This record gives sequence, structure tokens and C-alpha cells, in this order.
Amino acid sequence: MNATAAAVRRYRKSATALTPAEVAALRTAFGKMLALSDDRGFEYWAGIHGLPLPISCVHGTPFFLPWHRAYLYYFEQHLLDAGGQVSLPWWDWSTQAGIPAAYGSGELAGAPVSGIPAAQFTGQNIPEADRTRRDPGPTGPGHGPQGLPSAGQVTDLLKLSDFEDFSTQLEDLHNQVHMWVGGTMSEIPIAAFDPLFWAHHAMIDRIWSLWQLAHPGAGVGTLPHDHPLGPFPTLTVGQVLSVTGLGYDYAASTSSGRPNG
Amino acid sequence: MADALMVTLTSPAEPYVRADLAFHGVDHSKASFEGRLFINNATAGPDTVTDDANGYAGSFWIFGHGGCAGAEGHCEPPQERRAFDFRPPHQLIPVSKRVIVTGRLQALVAPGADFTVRIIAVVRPAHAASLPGNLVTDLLHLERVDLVTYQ
Repeated sequence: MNATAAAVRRYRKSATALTPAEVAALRTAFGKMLALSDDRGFEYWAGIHGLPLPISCVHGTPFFLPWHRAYLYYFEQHLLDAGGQVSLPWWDWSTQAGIPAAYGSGELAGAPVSGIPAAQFTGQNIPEADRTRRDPGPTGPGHGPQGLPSAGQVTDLLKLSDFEDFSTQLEDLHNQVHMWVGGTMSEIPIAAFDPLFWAHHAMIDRIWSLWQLAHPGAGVGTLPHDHPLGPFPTLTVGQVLSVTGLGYDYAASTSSGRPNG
Repeated sequence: MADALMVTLTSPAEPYVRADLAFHGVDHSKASFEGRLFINNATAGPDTVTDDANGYAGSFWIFGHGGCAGAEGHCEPPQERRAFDFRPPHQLIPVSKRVIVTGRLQALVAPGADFTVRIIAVVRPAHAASLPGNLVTDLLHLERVDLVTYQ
């Protein structure tokens, strides 16, 4: 066992399982990224998904999951630069409890929508906004398509054995959650400016990771492993297939001890 | 705010273990919307209750491009791709969606029978009100709908 590798591995935790100290550290790290106006900053990384042009995100193809894993990886590296030990938490929307309390105030509740040239609001696209906003749908079970995806839907997803089938169905749940949050999260060009975007996508990445554990060897269908995931220059499809290979893992809970003697 | 389309399909006469409605060539250039599906309900609208009695079969969700942020022609996908064009595909190439409807189809449609699928593009009213009118009207464009079943 490589003790050094084990020691540096990070666990992404549920947003509802964070301790008050972890929430504070996450807010501090987001705050530091928000204050940076260069290519280490929140504005720069939020803008890669949509505006300012070019819109780089990948949707509607089997590259959806690898591209967003690379995107979160790069964002998290800058979050670590800003905050030391803070990993991206995941928002388990399948509990149908709604937006986690940690994302209801402070630096996680919203952010400026900035860095987009005025000329890119053409009157034919989404209107210019100074700040993110949310307009969430109903919480709790029984709301059908107006509500959030259920735990049962996620369980059914995890039973699918073909990668492209799984990816297509997971992307649709992902889209549903974007629209449930409403406001900024509802539209591709500015969705990533909402701090909740990153917790939502960590959940999507977690579900893919759980699917990979349930279907070892299933791979990524016909996707070429050497396909580059632009604009992330050091990562290809093959390099993002393992979360532990990227230095992190997902945990519902962790418990550690040191042997005596 | 809603647009609607309807298509007629035929259920297989043979038993099946999975049935998908596959939507091909779906436009995603405007606002995000839900494509809400009703079987054998020609009058369903955005306010129709999404239950078994009304033939609700499921939904797909389009995460919209939000209109064009560029100059004229920026958001028009090329008709064909040149040889040696190694750039990523155009962002607005239409997408395909699949909705698994196995249980609903088995419950609502007899083997071998024709049936209709009504597709309603739904944008939450508050969200629609926050966007320019061109982004939330005439939303539903698609090339083809297939029923795909597996034994």
C-alpha cells in the first residue's frame, strides 16, 4: 500500500454532513476564489461552462460525464489552493429535502455574474444579470416532474449496464435539477456562477462513480480514451475514469483511528 | 408557456421488457424546458395533472443554450463537416433524448395498437417571464420520434 497516496486522498462529503467548521472553511475558500480576478478565480472558472464565449461545456453527448469530471477537478484544485483542505461537497437532491442549509447563506448562497462583455448580451439571448438568483420548485415527494428526482430514480439508473444508456438517463435527471433550482441555474450560459452548481455536479459525478463501482469493466462505451477534454490541457477521457486516480473519493461518512503501541 | 406536438406510433404485438420513446433532432438553442409526455391524451396541456389517469408517461428535460450570444451566424451549425476539421462539434447540433416508458406503455396501450404521444414543452411561468419572448416561444422542434422496444 502506498501510504503517501492514501494520506493525500480527499473525500468529497455530503453537503448535509459537513461540520460547522467545514462549512466555514468552504465559504472562506469560495470567498477567496471570488476575490481573485485572474485565471485562479471563481469568475474565470464559472465562465468556462458558458459565457463569456466560447461556451465550452459538453451536453447531449457521452462526453457529458468525463468533461464535467475534468471541470470539477480543475475547479477543486483552485478551491484547494484557496482553502487548504476543502473538497467539493455533493448535494444529494434525491432526498427531496431541497437546497442544503449550507448553501442558503454567505458565500455559498449566490455570487456575482461578472466578467461577461456587454456585447454578449445581444437581446436575443438570456438577459444580463448582476448576481445569481434561485427560484426553487417544490420539495418533498409527490410532485412528479415539478419536483426533484427521487432516490428510486437514482437506484433505477444504477441498474443500467450500458454506459451511453446510463449517461443519457443521468444527464436528463441532471437537467431536471437545474430547472428545479430555477433562475440562474436554469440556463447553460450562466449556471456555473451559482455556487450550488458545483455541489449539484459533484452529485452527478458521485452517481457516475457509484455506477462504475456497480459495473466494473463497463467503461465508457465507444468514447476514445485518448480524447482530450478541452480546455483542461492535462486530462483525457482515460485519465478521468478513476476518481481515486484523480486523488479523491466519495464518502457517506468516514471514521479513522490510529492503532496503539 | 407551452408548445405541443403529437405523434402516432404503434405498440409491438410481441411482449417486451423495455420500451423507450426516443426523440431525435431535438433543438436546444432557446430556454430550458421540460418535454412532458402524455399517451392517448390529445387535449393534455401544461396544467394537466401528471398522473396515470391522464396518460402521463414521463418527461425529458432540455438544458437550453439560452439564445445566441454571438454575431449573425454564430449559432447556426454547419450543414456538413469538412474533412480535416478537428474542432469540437458545434454547440447547437440537435440532441437525442430517451425516456424509458416500459410500465406506462404496457399499462396504457394494448399490444399491436396505435397510440398517440403528446409532447408539451413546459417552462415554469416565473422563469418564462424573466426571459425574452423569443426564447420561450416556438420551443419544440424535433425531427423524429421512435418507439424502441426490447425483448
